[in-house]
Amino acid sequence: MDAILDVREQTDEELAAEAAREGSDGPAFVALVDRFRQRVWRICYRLLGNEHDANDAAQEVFVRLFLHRGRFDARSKYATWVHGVAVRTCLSLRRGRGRRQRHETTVADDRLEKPVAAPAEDAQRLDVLELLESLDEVDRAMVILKYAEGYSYEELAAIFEMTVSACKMRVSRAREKVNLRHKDTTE
Amino acid sequence: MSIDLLEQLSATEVPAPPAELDREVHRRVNHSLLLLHLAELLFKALPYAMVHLAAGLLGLLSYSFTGGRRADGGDRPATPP
Repeated sequence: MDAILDVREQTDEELAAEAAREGSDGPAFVALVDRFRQRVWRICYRLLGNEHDANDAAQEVFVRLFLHRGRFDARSKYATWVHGVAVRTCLSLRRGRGRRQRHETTVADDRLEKPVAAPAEDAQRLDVLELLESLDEVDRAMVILKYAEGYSYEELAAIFEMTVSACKMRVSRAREKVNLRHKDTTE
Repeated sequence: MSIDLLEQLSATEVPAPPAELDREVHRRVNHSLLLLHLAELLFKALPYAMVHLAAGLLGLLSYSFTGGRRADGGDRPATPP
């Protein structure tokens, strides 16, 4: 009971240091998985677009966090490091699977999972996802985290290891590109 | 227009994480640990043991035939990895 209370009172960084000393997935690592489960899952689901891939990616993220637990050097917040690992894992999974296959899965999953959604809304949402496919992978991830999850530019800069102004510029350019593509498709 | 489009992204609900996520993470972590330990056994522990067993045997043979130990201490085991 005392051990559980200790784990709850520790900061993420303290737990990470403790997890690095553990030989297996002990109490500190289990507590970290518990703390970051929801956030990692949301990132994976947003970036991959369906539950099956998001589940695979979230598992992969936690395995990578475990295997690389000794590499966290506390130069940034542990949460930022976790989010960075989650984004990079999703991007590499997306690169590994063809765009065509990914799009077909997303469309099929959306139809299966949300049968009661209004057709117009559904079509528009698919439109946005389709338009985002025209973006560079990193830009797409930034736009999704910014607009779907409400991350600030400062958080994006820390996750993508860029300056805040570089993030703002990339998001702005991506938005312009989406705008242009949308005009082209509607005209 | 694009801002409205992009803001629709936040309207999409994210489902709850699957119940089996923790169990699968635990299983995959243990699988990775098992592979790591096997690799360490195969590529570090066994070669170390074989080299030092061979050194011991050579030392024994050398002592049997010549009646003396090697002067450079080469038949003694080094610091373990």
